[in-house]
Amino acid sequence: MKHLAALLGALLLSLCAVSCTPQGEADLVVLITNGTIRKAAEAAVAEFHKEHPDVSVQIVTTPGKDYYVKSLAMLAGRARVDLLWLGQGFSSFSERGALLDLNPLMAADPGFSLKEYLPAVVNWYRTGSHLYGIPYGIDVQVIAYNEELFDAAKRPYPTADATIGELIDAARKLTDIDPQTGRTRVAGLGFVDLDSRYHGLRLLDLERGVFALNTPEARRWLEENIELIDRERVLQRGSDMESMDRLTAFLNQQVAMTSVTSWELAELRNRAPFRWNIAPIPYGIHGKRLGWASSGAFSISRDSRHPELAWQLLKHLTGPAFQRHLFEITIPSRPALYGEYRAASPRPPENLEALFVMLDHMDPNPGLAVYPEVVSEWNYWKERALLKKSTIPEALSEAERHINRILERHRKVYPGPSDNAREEVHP
Amino acid sequence: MQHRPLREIRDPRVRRLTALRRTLLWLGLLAFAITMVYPFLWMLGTSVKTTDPALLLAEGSRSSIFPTGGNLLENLFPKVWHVENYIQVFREIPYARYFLNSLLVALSVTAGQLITSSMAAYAFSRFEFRGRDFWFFCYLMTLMVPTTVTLIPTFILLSRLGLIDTYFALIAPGIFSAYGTFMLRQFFLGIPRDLEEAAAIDGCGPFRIYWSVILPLSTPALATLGIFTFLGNWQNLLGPLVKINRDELKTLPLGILNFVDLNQANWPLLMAASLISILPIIVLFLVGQRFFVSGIRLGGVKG
Amino acid sequence: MKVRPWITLSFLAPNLVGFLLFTLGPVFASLCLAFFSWDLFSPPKFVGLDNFREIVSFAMTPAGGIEPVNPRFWLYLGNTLFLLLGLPFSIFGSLALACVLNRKIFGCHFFRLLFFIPSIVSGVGIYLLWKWIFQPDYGLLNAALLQIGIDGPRWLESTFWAKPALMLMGFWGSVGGMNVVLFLAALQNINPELYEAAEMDGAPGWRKFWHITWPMVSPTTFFILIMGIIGGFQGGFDAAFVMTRGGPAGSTTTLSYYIYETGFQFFYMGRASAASWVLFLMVMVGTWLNWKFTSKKVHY
Repeated sequence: MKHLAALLGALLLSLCAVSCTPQGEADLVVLITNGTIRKAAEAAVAEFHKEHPDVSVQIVTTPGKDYYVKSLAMLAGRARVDLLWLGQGFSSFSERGALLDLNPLMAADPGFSLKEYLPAVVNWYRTGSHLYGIPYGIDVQVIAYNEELFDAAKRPYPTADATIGELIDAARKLTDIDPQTGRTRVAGLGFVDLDSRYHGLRLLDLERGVFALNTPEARRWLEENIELIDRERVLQRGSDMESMDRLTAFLNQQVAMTSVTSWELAELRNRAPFRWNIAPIPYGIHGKRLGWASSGAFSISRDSRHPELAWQLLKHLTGPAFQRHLFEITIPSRPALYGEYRAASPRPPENLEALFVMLDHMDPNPGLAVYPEVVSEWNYWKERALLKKSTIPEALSEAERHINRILERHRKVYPGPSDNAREEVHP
Repeated sequence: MQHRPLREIRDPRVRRLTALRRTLLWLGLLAFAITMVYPFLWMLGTSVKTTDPALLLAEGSRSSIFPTGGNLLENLFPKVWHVENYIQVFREIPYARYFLNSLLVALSVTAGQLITSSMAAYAFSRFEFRGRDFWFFCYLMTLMVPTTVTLIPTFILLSRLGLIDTYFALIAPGIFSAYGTFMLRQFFLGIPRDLEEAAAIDGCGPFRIYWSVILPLSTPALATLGIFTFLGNWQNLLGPLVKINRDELKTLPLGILNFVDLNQANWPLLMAASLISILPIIVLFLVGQRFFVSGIRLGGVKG
Repeated sequence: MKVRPWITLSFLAPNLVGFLLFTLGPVFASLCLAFFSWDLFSPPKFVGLDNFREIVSFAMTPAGGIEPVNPRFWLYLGNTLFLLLGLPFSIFGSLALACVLNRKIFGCHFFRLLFFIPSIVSGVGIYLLWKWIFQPDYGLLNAALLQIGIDGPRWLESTFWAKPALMLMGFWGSVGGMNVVLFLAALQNINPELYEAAEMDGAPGWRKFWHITWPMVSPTTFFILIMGIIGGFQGGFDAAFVMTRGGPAGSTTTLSYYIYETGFQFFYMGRASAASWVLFLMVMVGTWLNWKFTSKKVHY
């Protein structure tokens, strides 16, 4: 017992010695998530070092699901962060003034051309006359379908110009319910719910800054959802986009069609034991094709001590070499690299053209700082409607009331101009 | 209420019945234990599944990760057991380093907790001083505030002190958690004072009493606190997440998440890494049993 | 006992100094934060009781009635309290298990380990596994129920059954854990002469349990109950976040989930702090009630 105490005491003392040695501070700190992006970032930093060998760079990686806890803690505590990766949470940071405007840095750098990047996506990072981030990769959503299940049911595969009605019909034919137990063996569709985009609907009317779903069309959309989920059992409700088990039902061949984002294609390629392919999101009921989209970008934090150096590194982090490393998980935001991207896809290639079709029909989440709160509120009322805990009109009007209140309150605190709204890509 | 007199229990028929009942209960216990341990078996099975896409196609649906259907054993274990995953874990991430970090931090926090909170608990339970109950209430209070909201203030504090990215940041806040003081104070309150009074009469000072009387009597409680503290620290994720930037200082829960990409995970390697990480706790549990089966009696004062 | 102040100080100081700096400091900071509005990037702004008002107060509806300003908060409170109902089951289960494992049955050490394992395996993988066990159409649980002829509910997809599902998972994860270890220790400390005396008097099993075992383990039960209440109010976040994201229509969102969401997803740090202080008050009330109610029954 005494020996144990002595050992522990020695351990603690040596510990103090170890932890008391001061660390040299790096000139630049880059904050990213774990995974493939890490190797790409290391390569980009290596390239940066060729031009600036005296600048030390520290790459801080953090698990993806806790990325916002980490980044918020660092930024709130004014810790040294120069460059940070941003995904869907971009506007939460930019609207609250956490990021540096890149326009002056770009103006001072004649060798850099913003035109190399897809303009539609770059616009997502503009607020008024400021630019707060440079995107390196684009993610779009497509429909993935199980060819073998389609073959077994002798149905034609979904095509690029299918409409949502045709897709749902195909899903009906593919749904297989066990007559004895009533359990679904195969569900035709595996979405969270039939996206409002398929009905040409949007959650918010960004110009007026209000909730936009308290309309008869939205009511019909919800009713169709309840039909598909409850009565016909065609739609198997799945997990949301951030859940790691999202593709499980599809991979287990219990769902014939599901929506996948471009980053999930790698998992499908690696783990699907059946033939599958992808198709663009079908035309909605008003003849418009709208698909969810997002992008990955890097920004410079407002408190960066070496903005010019950070800008130089930023160029590498959104440069062609970096984008080539990430072909597996995201479409490069440089149209010049599309050819290479196509060539780099595995053999046999799935229908990559579906991804490029969706590039012309991107409908990202609104760039509002308060959007997470709005979505949380909306999900609550949508769930209540879909589970029939509230009637549809009631759910929609309550959602409208609460969401407008949230938007109102946010406008009082951040009375910025309404050019927070992302430009619409299509008429 | 009917009760069986003692001699009836010696009747052989009754004994056979009791034996039968006992066997049935044992079987029931076994069944219950197996259902309890199913998720662990799943972890084991997943950890030996292949991650190579080519092999996945060959091995078919038995290598899929999550249970597919009603058949329990259908894809619990794969056709081919890829034990090399366990070696792969060490190759892909600096697992040994993370393991040692976790060990160092957890042991240090446990030692610090045991020493400092037993002393403070002794003071709270035996000494009378002004503000004693107020301060104890402060201790209790900190247990009731969720760590989510203290995360950022703690970060700011450590950042201002320049302690981010050091072992100190991982160890020091853990030592001073109020949990140990609370638990030991309750335990000390339950120890009768006769022994201490006897020792005091013999001329022992408070420190001597603490060291030679109270501590030996509290071995079960100290062992329990030790295991609790070690366990909590071993699995702590949010603390190291916020306080550590450099890869060399990361602890296991943080390091294991290297196998989790933004929206996907390398399940077999993740499960292998997790299984290795619970080995020390199992060892601790098996070893710590001895301290609980010690049969120390609290009523040790006779004449 | 009365001792000189410097002795008290020397016992207290090692812990107290660190406690003040690293534990009480941040807690106090979060208390102050509750009266500010802070979005983490701009300096905090003082708003007085506004945060609390946003959370717990009531207001007039357009229709003239009274409704809570934040109805979701009360829903989440209800969820938290409901999930706490699993605590007695867990404690009784642990005690029963400890009583069984205390006897010299064949393989009791092996069983102890088997039952302990669920409490140390945790993490995303296990939560997702349980999510698939609870899957209504393909999951193991409903398939097993079907064998006995029961048509299982929609579990995590139903607002009614989501919480019992989480409670079931919580029971699995806690029944064989440290509580059993604590109870075993307490059981070992019971003088066997008491049982022998009871046997001589011909007392049946349940009588022995209720009059000897139960009172003798009551300090441990009390401790476990208090820690369970404290933990229960603060817990339920990891599972809900991974498995249901707060559940169908907010039915698995607990107060700790609400605090995380408000602070780290909606960026209202001040309001999150205020909510955690409201939570603190409730835990205090719960603990105090527990104390009052059971202190008579705790035998030292």
